[in-house]
Amino acid sequence: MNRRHRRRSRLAVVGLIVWAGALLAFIPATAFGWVDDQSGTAIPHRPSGLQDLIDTFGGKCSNTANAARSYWPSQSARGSGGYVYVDPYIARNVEYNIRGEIDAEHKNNAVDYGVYGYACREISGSTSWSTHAWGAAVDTNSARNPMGQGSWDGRGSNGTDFGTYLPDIWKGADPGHFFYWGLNFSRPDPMHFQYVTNY
Amino acid sequence: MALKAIIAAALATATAFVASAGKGSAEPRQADPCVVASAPAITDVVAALYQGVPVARNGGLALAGGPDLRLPIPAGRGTVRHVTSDPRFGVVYVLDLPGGDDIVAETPAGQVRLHRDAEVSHPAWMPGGDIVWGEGERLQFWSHRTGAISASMPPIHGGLVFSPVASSADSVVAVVAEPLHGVLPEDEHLSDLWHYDLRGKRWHRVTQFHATADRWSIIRTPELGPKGVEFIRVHGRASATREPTFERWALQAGRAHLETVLPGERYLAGYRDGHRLWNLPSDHPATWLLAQETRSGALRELGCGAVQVDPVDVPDPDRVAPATSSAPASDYPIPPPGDQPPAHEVAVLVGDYSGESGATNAAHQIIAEYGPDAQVKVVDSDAAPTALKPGSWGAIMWVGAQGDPVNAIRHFWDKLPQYADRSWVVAP
Repeated sequence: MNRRHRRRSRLAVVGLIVWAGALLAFIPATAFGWVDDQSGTAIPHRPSGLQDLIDTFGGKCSNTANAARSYWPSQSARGSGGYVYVDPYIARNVEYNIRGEIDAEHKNNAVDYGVYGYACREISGSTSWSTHAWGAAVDTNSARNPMGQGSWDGRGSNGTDFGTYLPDIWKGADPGHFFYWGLNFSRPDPMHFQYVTNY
Repeated sequence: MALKAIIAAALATATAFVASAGKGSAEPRQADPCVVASAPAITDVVAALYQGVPVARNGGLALAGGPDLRLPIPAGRGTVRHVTSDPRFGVVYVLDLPGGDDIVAETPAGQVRLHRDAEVSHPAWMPGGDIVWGEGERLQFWSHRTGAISASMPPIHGGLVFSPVASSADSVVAVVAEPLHGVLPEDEHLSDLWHYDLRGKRWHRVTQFHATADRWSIIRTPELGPKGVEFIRVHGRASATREPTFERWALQAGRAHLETVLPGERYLAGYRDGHRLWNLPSDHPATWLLAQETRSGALRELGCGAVQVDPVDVPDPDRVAPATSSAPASDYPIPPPGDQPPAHEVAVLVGDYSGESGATNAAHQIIAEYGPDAQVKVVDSDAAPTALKPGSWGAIMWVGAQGDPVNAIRHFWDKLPQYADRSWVVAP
């Protein structure tokens, strides 16, 4: 094989890799067997206000408030996965819809530590209980997105900037899953996504 | 000046009220103290404030333990929170606004309104009539003589200072929440009581509570009572699914002592006739009850409303997305159920097992309890990567597309209590 042939072959291989990579990036998750579940069962009524939150999720720190779980990459530390606990009321939405989409689209590196769900605690300086005490909220990419930061840092665990890939999956309507984003609070909390408004 | 005359009358009323209350007079009890829709609004705000305990209720200022009156709040948006009254100086509270807040004081000299470009909390009167409040990592002081505002040094960098109480003219104790990894998280892990010396402009820590990543300890609602400063300590575990422990502590000779473990969630709301006032969650959830402790320790209900606690009957303005927010839109109406695809199934998982045999044994136990028709399967992390950590195994029982996952897990725990600590709802 002469030098020109070898060069062409190398270019062909490189082109094939680039093409495959680009194709993979644009293939929807459905191609991998995952189908977004936008049913009312998977995305149930989202409460508004404390009374509705209690009526929907039950009491704070209850024995079912952390009875659903899902496994997340880089949960406790970069590259170290772990479980995130939420109320079963939002189990389909958190695990199948959100976690499932990230996994199906091979974007696990978009998740960076820490990722937290249930926690029976009060809000800092307040007698109000955190939405985490109902298992109704998840913090993601906390280290890069602390409370008070007015924008989303989309860098994942591998340092790549995924933009608003994760918030777009959590928040709002399709392709989102109706979680309310803490970035919208007057005191922004970009890591925070909760399944309740006006609280 | 007419206003001064009204205020003087109000103060006289307040003094008479305090004196008569000390003789055991009984306040008229409302049939339903939480119903405020029919409560008349009054124009003589300052006078009315001294006929009962000023509280935050339904976003405004109201009275509890006295005539059922609703008082207009200053014009503009916002909700009232953190109300403190002193017959000598008036009433001071936070007018909570989206973003920066106002400190508002109704005083004999008129209304004082101080806008701050920050979240503020828990304004309190100093013995001379100045006002102190918490603002980020510092205390702020307003001088009634000059109108000037000055700040303390932060006790710790990145902390949150709140709930100041003036124990003397040059001494303030306040709660300081510790930052975590240099950043203050939404949830509080650890706070302590600190003392601020206004003469030396120095802080020193009064309590030394400890916390871990899971075990937390916080302080709430310190109040200056007849025997000194008292406060509520709350501690628990973030991972626990039970109510945390509430305790009443007291400062004596500069040291904190546990006085009593409380029967449940409650916070100090001041004192009246030498007896403690308490805010307790109501049976009707989104309401605070106000009650007075009697000599026997029993509680006598005075009405509804929040004193130093955060109101629960109205949304926090900082948690409601402003209509003109430039932040990314994230709030859309939930689509009505209709022509929707069938929902994904959920399951109850028992795990984690290091090998297949443990999961298989659990599967047999489930089938033995639920019968042979139960859809039970043994899976590993390759088959269910979103439900199991790598290398682990579990037994899952499908509960169907329309199954209620909350009832499913409760039912499962009832039937197989031996797996209550290692079973979860999953949706792999």
